[in-house]
Amino acid sequence: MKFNIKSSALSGRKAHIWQRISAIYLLFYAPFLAIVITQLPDSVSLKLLAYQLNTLPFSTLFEVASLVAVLLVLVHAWVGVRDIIIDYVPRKKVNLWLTLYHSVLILLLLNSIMIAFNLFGYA
Amino acid sequence: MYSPPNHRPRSLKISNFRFPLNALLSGAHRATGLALVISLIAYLALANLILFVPAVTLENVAACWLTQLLHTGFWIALSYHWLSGLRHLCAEHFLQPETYQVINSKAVSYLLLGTWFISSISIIYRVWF
Repeated sequence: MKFNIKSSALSGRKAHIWQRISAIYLLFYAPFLAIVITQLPDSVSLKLLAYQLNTLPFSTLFEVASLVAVLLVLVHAWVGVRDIIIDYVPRKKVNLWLTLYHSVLILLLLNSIMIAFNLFGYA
Repeated sequence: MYSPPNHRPRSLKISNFRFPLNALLSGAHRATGLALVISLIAYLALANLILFVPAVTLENVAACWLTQLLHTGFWIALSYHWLSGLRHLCAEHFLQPETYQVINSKAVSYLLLGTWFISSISIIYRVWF
């Protein structure tokens, strides 16, 4: 895994394709997430919330869809903010900001996996 | 950052520019995307607090106005990002000049803003009342 990101090594075409794939998936997932959230009763703990999610009639579909969504959100967020950094950050500091942002996204991914393990017992 | 190749007149003061509505909507798509990344980090921070700090419970956190503000900001930003993202995807997919003109017309821009306004009102109502 590369930690030192260089803007000269980044591809625009690949990024655009991934941005579109993730956008199309999230276009359908976001309303699905909103519907599921409105169906959930108020919870007193995250464990109970996880249990309530498991008892929903389409819980397996929601869990698989959410797992794919987490990965695609990270891809979408990487390409989107990467483009903002390249467009607006002074050229000398672009590589530093890209490396920092890339590291933050990896930390977010690891943290999401840890939370999923803690709540559902798997990831 | 973009550097012009020659010595064309330029200004670093953003208020000197008059942007068309579509440029503002496109800029707002980026701004809401950035807001969504920040709110996702905030949601993860909240989940960590609830899971690993015994004094913090979901019940306490859910009742806090800061969390409600986070929900409001997240869903309002998501609804705008979703609507303008749908428009971007349509503009990239339907390349025939007539369809492209309709997608980029002022009527569609105002339709987007109107839909977003109505969804924002319903989000505020759902979160706060």
